[in-house]
Amino acid sequence: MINEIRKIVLDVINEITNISISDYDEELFIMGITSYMLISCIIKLEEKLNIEFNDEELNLDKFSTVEKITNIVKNKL
Amino acid sequence: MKLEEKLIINFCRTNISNDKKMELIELLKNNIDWKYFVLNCLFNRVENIVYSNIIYYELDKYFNPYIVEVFKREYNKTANNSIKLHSYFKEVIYALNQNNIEYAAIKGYVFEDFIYYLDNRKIVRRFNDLDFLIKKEDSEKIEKIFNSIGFKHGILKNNMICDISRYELLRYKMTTHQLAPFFKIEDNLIVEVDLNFSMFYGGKIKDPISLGYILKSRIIVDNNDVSYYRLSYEYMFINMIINTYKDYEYVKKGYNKNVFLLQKLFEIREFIVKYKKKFCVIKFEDIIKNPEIITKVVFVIKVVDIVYGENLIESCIGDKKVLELYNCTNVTFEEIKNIIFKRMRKIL
Repeated sequence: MINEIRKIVLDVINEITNISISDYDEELFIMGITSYMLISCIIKLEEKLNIEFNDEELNLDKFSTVEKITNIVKNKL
Repeated sequence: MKLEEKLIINFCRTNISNDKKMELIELLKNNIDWKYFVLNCLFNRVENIVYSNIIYYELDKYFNPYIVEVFKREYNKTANNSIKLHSYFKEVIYALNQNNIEYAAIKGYVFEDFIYYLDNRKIVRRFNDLDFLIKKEDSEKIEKIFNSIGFKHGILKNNMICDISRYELLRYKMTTHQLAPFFKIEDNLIVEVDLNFSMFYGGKIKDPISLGYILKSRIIVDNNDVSYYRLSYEYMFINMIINTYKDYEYVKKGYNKNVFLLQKLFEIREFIVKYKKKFCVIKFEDIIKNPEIITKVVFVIKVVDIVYGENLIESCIGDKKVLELYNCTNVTFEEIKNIIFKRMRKIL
């Protein structure tokens, strides 16, 4: 399941930012992804997976790598 | 300095001494560019203090009657709005207190309450929103409270409240130090409530002093019909300084934002004059020893002193190192004057 979620996360990031990620622990901001792009990715993930992140989760640090996003999504499903 | 500029600055105080009144009368006997005078009062949001002084110190006979009428109209409009804002404020405070939310009211309403008076004379202050400091962890609870009393998140466009997108909501939550603004409209008055998690820079910049710590020293104010929490005198002062410094930075960076600088400088000066004895000097000096804060405090007080031609620094901060820093701070009247006063083409 975790691999499926990671693939969805990677697809969403690629669709929104046009950036392909190979290192899942690499900081997304270093890869050129801005906080505004990341917010668009979060909304896309919410729509795609029919989930809604709560205030406690809505912290940029918690979405700073593919691995972190994958885990936070996994906990919502 | 232009005659009109000197007049405006001299009017921006709640207490006008006899000497100052004579000085004002001498200035008013000259040929005044009234358009420049009025527009710059409005531009700096000091028209109400100026009008209140014109009437209180019986200086209206030296003014063009049309100008006094313009000020009177603005004053009455502000006074009416102020009554409505007061009822919104009461409603919000009641809801926050009932739900045991740790908050502090800041800016507009509190300034009107604490600064805009002299003895029994109350003066109105123009403001459109209610501002509060809240803890970020309380935001979900507070959103529910605001929804329950008819406030909705929104964006103001062409004087209309529009729905806010999920993207905007998240942008506020994740990249700023405030919640998306709340709005409510009643009797054609739109009220905005801004809820901030930081009185400093927010965003990715860590606060030099945590909000939890700041709120511990908040003070309850018992007014006739509303009891609300505000910051301690020391933090209220720091809050005014930081806001003024941030606005000054905006303008210096070239952002086209009307920052009402003279209103802010007037408020800081009044605050020092009225409350310097209420500061706990030890607590205050402890706060401003923080390097993040001290340069801003010294800079802003220097700006106030330059504009008013006074020396307030010694009356509120006696520390030798602070005074040294003050003496080394470079800022000129010309630099500040160009931010405060505008040569506008717009005709009344």
